[in-house]
Formats: sequence, structure tokens, C-alpha cells
Amino acid sequence: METQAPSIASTTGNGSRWKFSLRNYFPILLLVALIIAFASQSSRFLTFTNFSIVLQQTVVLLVAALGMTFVIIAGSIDLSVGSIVAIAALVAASLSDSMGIWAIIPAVLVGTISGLLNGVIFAKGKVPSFMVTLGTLVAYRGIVLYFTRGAPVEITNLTFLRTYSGRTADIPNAAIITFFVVLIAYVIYNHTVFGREVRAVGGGERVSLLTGIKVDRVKIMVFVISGLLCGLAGLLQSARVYAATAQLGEGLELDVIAAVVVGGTPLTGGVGGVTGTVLGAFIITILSNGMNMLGVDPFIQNIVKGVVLVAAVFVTIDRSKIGIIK
Amino acid sequence: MNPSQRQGKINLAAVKETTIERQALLLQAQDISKSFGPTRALQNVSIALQAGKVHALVGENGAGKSTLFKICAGVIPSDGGKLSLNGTSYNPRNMQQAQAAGVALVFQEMTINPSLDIAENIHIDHMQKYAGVFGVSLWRSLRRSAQDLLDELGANISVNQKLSTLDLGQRKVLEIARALSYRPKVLLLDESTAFLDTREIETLFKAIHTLREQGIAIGYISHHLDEVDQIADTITILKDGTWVGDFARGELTNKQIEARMVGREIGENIYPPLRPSESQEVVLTLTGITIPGILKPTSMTLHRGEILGLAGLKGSGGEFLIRALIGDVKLSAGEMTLFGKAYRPKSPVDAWKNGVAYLPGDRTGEGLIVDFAVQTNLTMASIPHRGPFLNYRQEHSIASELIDQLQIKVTSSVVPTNSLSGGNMQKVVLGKCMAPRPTVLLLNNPTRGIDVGARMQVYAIIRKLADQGISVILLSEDLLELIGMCDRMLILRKGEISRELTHEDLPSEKEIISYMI
Repeated sequence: METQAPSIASTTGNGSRWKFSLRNYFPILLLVALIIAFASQSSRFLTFTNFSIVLQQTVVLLVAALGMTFVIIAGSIDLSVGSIVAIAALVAASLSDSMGIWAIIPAVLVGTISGLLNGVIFAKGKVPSFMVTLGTLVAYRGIVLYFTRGAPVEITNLTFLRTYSGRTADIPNAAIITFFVVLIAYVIYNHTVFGREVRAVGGGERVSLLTGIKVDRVKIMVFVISGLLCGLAGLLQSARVYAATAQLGEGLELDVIAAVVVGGTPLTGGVGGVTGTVLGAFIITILSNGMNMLGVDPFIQNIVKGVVLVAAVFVTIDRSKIGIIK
Repeated sequence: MNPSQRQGKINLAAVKETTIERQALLLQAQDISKSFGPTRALQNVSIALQAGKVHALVGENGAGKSTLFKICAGVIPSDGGKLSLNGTSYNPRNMQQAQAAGVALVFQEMTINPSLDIAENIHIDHMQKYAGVFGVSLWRSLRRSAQDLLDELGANISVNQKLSTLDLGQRKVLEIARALSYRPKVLLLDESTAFLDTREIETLFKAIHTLREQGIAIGYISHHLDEVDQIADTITILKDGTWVGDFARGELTNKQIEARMVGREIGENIYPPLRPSESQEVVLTLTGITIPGILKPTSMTLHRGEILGLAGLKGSGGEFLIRALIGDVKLSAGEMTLFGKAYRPKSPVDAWKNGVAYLPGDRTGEGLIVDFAVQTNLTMASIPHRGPFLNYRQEHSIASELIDQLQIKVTSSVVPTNSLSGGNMQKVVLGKCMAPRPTVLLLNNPTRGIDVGARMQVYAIIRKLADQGISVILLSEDLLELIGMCDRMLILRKGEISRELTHEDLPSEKEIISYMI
């Protein structure tokens, strides 16, 4: 089954064999190269402690990026992820006292509704997703600010914290949850009719429509998935920092999009995958983690991250499929 | 300059004619070869274009016609061979050099920019010339010069018109006017009529006649031999990148030309024998369906196993009628029934669910996701699944079966669809429509831009489906195709049915056109 999945999209490029394989394996090569580079510079990098820190740092980004993967493959974009994460974190933190671990339900629910709203305005109202989610990016953040008045909501419920930011057999629970989310996302993308339809809509919306695919439903569903996963990401983030703050998740959309793109899913839609996003999320996190460990100036870190993002797209983009590069 | 001699066969004597004749030999391509990776697109092909003559290039898809023109116009370099212009060696490195030397190419694809106006589109490469102080455009001289070019072509177009008022044929004329703005001695037209209807083709042919009289050498690629017959003085046949022969107009019948293109004799008729359905079972009825401004109240019925043709000029409503049937446009009035039950598709989803399949007119924009694997496209309308999960094994077997049945030439069902030739791509679209086993099949120009070999296969498949009891509606701009394929034909004029013909009426092309205009 594994070998069949990538064959859906093009398997032969116009470029040489070498370039073709580099394009496909670039994310994993980059990740390995980063690990080797950082490990050779710092003895603390390749330790179990650091590994579990990296895991914890990655989960929130990864969970949100999985949702974004579906959105981007369907040919759209979701800029509101950071704000949805903040709303969900606020809901989780506020209800953690009364509901304990079950605060996950309202948190995920509020994320799902936020995503549904994005999707419906986009698909039924025919407003470009970039504009819809740019608007809700601001509006959802506004809701958080209105209710918190800028003050953090602290989480004191111990069961909640133990469940979502504790460890089982030394592995962070959040990482275990994320593992299952990755698994489910992988199966949905590669082995369900819905996954196929997402790819079809991103690859050719008009073709899909005329072939009888429920294009509007697919478009709404990818935003629902993105919202749902942002709900979960918000909960995990609030548990990690023991609080929901008004600024939580600010600028997250850029890291999320970067993770998806570095993982080899182009913004043009139709192609890409879940596996790439997992690698992309780790690349983004390890880059920060490693540079912090080496004591790289934080401003320089930004420059490096930007360069890595553009370099990744430079290598992985399949120019034969894009007529004009905008 | 003896016109009767010109019409004759090009033999050795003709080649050795007077010096005037030799001077008239404008563009000469000798032993041109070109490979794309392992594919040999052209092998030692030679052609010679003469001033004041139309030279047609015919051959199947992939025969190398476009490649040869592109090499002549400097778009792509050749691997070997020699080009000469007016007897002197000519090696264009790019289109601009070719244009400067006097060779202009009008591409197969539409290159009109909808956000510019008519004059700007014509002079897109010369905008610098019309820049005044501080680069401000000199609109008046720009427009006057564009209008001059249009008048030269005898086109009834004013630069003051809005671009959106021009039909595809007139837009093609704009492209030719643009090519003329380089003052070419050689004009190459690649499939300029592919998307044009009868009336638009007439506009274009008038323009070509004007140019021929001005002594311009014209190269012309077309799939339609009857067009070639009308307009070409000389015909070169290519097959699989090799030169088959040069012939004068009238030297070969269209049948003989086709046989040389395909490399085997083609029967008297490229259409399968008509076997009109005897069934009186009504499958689909339309009663007074109306689309404001496009389709006047229209009624019709479709029987089981019948091939019903829709003829008409572009804009006469045929395309919208079909799109209404799949729920892609809204009706303002009227009723439809399918097998006696009310049928009101809100979107193509409803149409496919009810067994109505649609093959769109634009193969790569509406029919296929060209980056996707052949098997993904083939099963897109009927994704095989077990519950919510994909059934890869079944997908593969369905795709293999369709590939066999339709004789699609592929090395594997997982190669990307854009690696296929036009004819094979079209078979993939047809296969996609067949996969869900529809009861009604709507075809919008199913053989547009594909060669005669592939066309015959498509015709045979359509007839077979009809024999199996599928009701087919065939919308086509190719009248011969409609005459050859249809049991019954509706002719549309300005949004209403002007005439119904059955195969027993044996309508001629002229007769059909008279009902269209």
C-alpha cells in the first residue's frame, strides 16, 4: 500500500533522474543534515532530554500543520490557524477547572466551528480563502482579547496538566497523542476517497466539479479539519505553558505554512503529503532548537530560517508543472 | 507565371524552372532533425515555402508538424539540418531574431491577453515604438497602425471595439495581425482553426487569401483535410517525424492523404456504420427549458441507444444546453425528466449520480487533471472504495480494463496523464465517463484536435456504447462528424432549434450550414 500512494501524482519529472530524486528526498536529507550538523557542534543535542524537548516543541506546530496540509493540497490557505489555536487554548484553560481532561471536547469543538465558519464563507460565499482567513485571523484574535482583556488564564487542574503535558514511560503524552493524529491523517490522505477528492480539487477544481465531485463539501471539510486540529493544538499548547495567554499562537501560521512547504507540499495544490509535513515540522523545530543550543544570535536565527525556507522551495518546486511563477 | 502549371504536380521540371521561380522559394528547411529525450520528433525532414503560396503540413498528432514550424520560427533549436531564407543561410536563435528576419509564427494556443485592448494586443511587442515623452504611450498612432493592419487583412474589426466582443475567430485574426506587424515574408499558422466554427473559419480564410495575394509565403497546419483542400497550394505529409511526400492541391484525394498520414489504407468511411436505435423508449425529455439571453424555450427527447447530434455555430446555445443537462448552468424555466422521473440537477454531482456523464470540450482544462496518473483520472468519476477507504486493487483493475478496451497507448497506468498524446488523453476522458456505467453520455466535441486514427477509435467506441443502450448526445463543430455519426440531428440557431434532421434525410454540409446561419 505504501508504495502505491505516491504514484497518484506524477512519478516522472521532465528533469534528470538525479534532480527528481533530490526533489522527493530533500526534506529527509535536510533533516538528517541538520541533526548531524548540530550533533557535531553540541554534545547536548543528541540526548534523550533534548529529544523529548524537541518532541514537545514540535507537537503543537505539527498538529496544526497536518490540518494545513489538507487545506494547501486542496489549493487553499488558512491564515487563521494561530488565532484558532488561541481561542481553543482559552476555552481549554477556562474550562479545565470544571471539566478536567474533558475540556478537550469544547476546545476541539470551538476549533471545528471556527474552521467550519472559514470553510463556509470561502466555499459558499465564494470569497478567496486568503481573504477569509486573513479576516478571521484578526477577528478570532479579537475574540480572545475581548474575553481575556489581555490577562492570561492560568490552568490549575492537575489531572488536566498531568494528562496533556505529562509523560508516559518518559515520552510526552502530547507526543503520543500527536503520533495517533499523524497516523489518522496519513490514512485519511492516502487511503480514503476523501483524501483523493482533496487532491483532485487542488489539482483541478473545474475538472473535479464537472466529474461530479462535491467540491464545496471538500473545501469546507479541509477547513473543518484544519480548525479541529488547531483546537487540539491549542489545548496541547495551553497545557504545555499551564495557561492561555492572549498572545498564544501569534505568528504560528507562518511556521505552519513553512513546515508544510519545507515538507515538499507546494502552495499550488494537488500534490504533497502528510509524511512530508511531519519532516517539515521537525526541520523547523530542530533548526530553532539547534541554533538556541549553539547560542546563535536570535536575529541571525530568523535570517537562517528564512534562507532555509526559500532554499527548500528552490530545490523541491517542480517547475515543469507551473507555467508562470508568481 | 503560368497558374495552370502551378497547379500541376511538382516534378523535376518544375523545380528546374526559371530563376524567378527559384527566387520565389522563400523559406527552405533541409534535413531537419530534432529529438526530445529518447523521442525522435523529426528525422531529416525538408520543406520549401514559396512566396504567394499556401503550403499545408498534415500528419497525425505527434508527427512533428508543430516542432518543424517552431524550429523555423526560432522557438526551439534543431539538432541537425539547415534553414535558409531567400537563399541565404538563416539561423534564428529565438523568436525575435526570426521575426526580424521575416518569419512569424502564430501559435496553436490562444495568446490574446484579455486585460489589454485590441491595439495593445496587436502591438504588444512594439509598445516601445509608441512610447512618447516619459514613456507615455502615443495612443492615437498605436491605434491607427493597428487598424491599418486589421484593414490590410480585410478583417471587419475596429480597434475601438471591446476585446470581449470578438469571437475566437476574430481573436485569431488579431494574432495574425500581430504577426503581420513584424512585416513577415513567411507566416506560419499552427492549427489556427482548431477552436473555430464554420463562420469563424471563413473570416480566417479571407484573411489568408489577402495575404497570399500580397506575396507572403504561408505555412499552414491543420487536422481538417477539407480545409487544407480549400486553401493549400501544396501539401507536405509527415508521419512519425519523417517526410512522406509533397503533393500539389488536388493530386491526392483526402482518403489517400489520410492513408499516407496513418501509414495504412483507411476504409471509405472513417465512421462506423449507422445503426439507428429501434428503441422507442424515451430516456430524457426537455420541455421548454430556458436560459435567459442564451437559450430560448427548447424541447426535445432522447431515446435509448440513440446518438443525437447537436449542430450550431458557437454561441447558438448547444454548449449551454449540454451544461444545463449536467447542472452546470441555471435554468430560468422548463422541466426535464429522466426515465419518466423529474430531473433537476443542481450541480454535476446530481447528474453523475443519475447516470448522466459529461465529456467536456476542453480536454486539459475541464476533462483531465493532467498531472495525475492515468488510472487516477480514469476512475475519478467512480472512485472505487470499500466504505470510506480507497480500493487500490479495484482501481487498478478498472483502469487496466479501460486501457485495454479503449486501446490507450501507455507504458503503465500510473504514468502522469500529460505524458500521453492528445488522442490518448481524449480516450482517458472518454474512459472516465464510461467507468461509472452511465445511461446518458453527453459529448462536447469529443474529437477536437485529435488525429484521424484516434478519431476512428473514438467513433467506434461511441457507436459501441450506443449499441449497448447508452443514449448519446454529441455536440460538435465538425459537421462531417455529425453527419457520419448521428442517428438524428438538431440544428441550433441563435438559441433555438431551427431544424431536426434524421439520418434518412442524408443532409449535406451546405444544407446544415443553411439552417445554422
